[in-house]
Amino acid sequence: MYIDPHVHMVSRTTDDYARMAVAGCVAITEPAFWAGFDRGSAEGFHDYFRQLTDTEPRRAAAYGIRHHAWICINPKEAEDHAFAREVMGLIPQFLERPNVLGIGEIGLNRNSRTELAVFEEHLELAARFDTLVLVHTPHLEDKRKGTRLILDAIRNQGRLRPDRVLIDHGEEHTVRQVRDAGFWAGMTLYPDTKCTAARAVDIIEMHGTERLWINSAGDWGHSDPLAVPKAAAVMRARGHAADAVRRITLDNPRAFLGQSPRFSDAPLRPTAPDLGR
Amino acid sequence: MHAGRPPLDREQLIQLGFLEARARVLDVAAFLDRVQRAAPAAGASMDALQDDRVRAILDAMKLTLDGQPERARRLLDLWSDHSTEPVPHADGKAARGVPRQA
Repeated sequence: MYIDPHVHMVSRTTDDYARMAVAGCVAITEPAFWAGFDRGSAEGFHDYFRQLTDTEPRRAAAYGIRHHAWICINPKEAEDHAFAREVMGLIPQFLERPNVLGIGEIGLNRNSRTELAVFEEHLELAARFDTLVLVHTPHLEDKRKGTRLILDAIRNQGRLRPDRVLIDHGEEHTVRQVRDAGFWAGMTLYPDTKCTAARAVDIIEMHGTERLWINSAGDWGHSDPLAVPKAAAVMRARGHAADAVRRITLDNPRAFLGQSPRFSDAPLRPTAPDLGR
Repeated sequence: MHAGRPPLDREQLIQLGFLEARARVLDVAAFLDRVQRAAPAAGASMDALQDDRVRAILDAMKLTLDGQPERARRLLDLWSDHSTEPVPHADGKAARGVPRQA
């Protein structure tokens, strides 16, 4: 059994749901993100949020997987401040949906002033509605600086408890500072631009398993929706005990996500006719 | 167990990871050869190794030879933007891997 706490199933095929179910996935959470192109209107986001809160839970349930979502305007589409505010106006109505855990994945992409302002406004929304927060950190050369700006912004806001915020896409140069500040840290198993399974296991060995999870962030790009069970296999090959593997792949995401009463990984009977093929 | 010490011993880890690491180092060497064989783009330096991205890889290889621990963290720090203030506007959607001035 495992949870993939960050995967973009709107971009994946039904075959991926079937493969994840066979690999033991019992629950996923899907943050709102960039679709590879900029949406032309707030209505486009409204439809996307409906997909996250209505269509995907039904697709997942057919394979016995509990589906949860996070709502926001992602930082890659946040450079137009007025447009971002229009989309943010849609968020409160979707926070009431039964599978929504909170605000995410908010954060920074290129570390611009507008991205930071929109991030801070999302933090206000999270504080006002008392939700969990899932934070995206920038890629490559921008990650170190962006992670620092994000930590400062959350501290300055001061109304969010660090243990209700997960800062994702961590690597060797950011995981320590995120956890030292009291936040949860995520590691994304993503070829080329984020963390390989081998490096994620190195980080687990160096820093322990406390307040740490792994995810696939499987999406429309080069990514692997089975990255979590594959990393579990790497952990076992590297001599880690079954309870450590379970902590990273099941107990830890359950502990963080379970702070929302809407989260569940209780058994769900699959109904998909093609599961036995 | 020492903090940070893997469950497997050194020989077991070498057995497990050597061939993959060997292949990746070879890929880096082949990449450098390939870039050096190629014609420069219009207006670019004749010396392939002057490209700031290629130099960042060579600098990283030097770093791995210093015998000190936490090479992966230090390499990521080396390839990071060390400025501290937000930029006025996003310069496109994608990061390039190393800061331009590297």
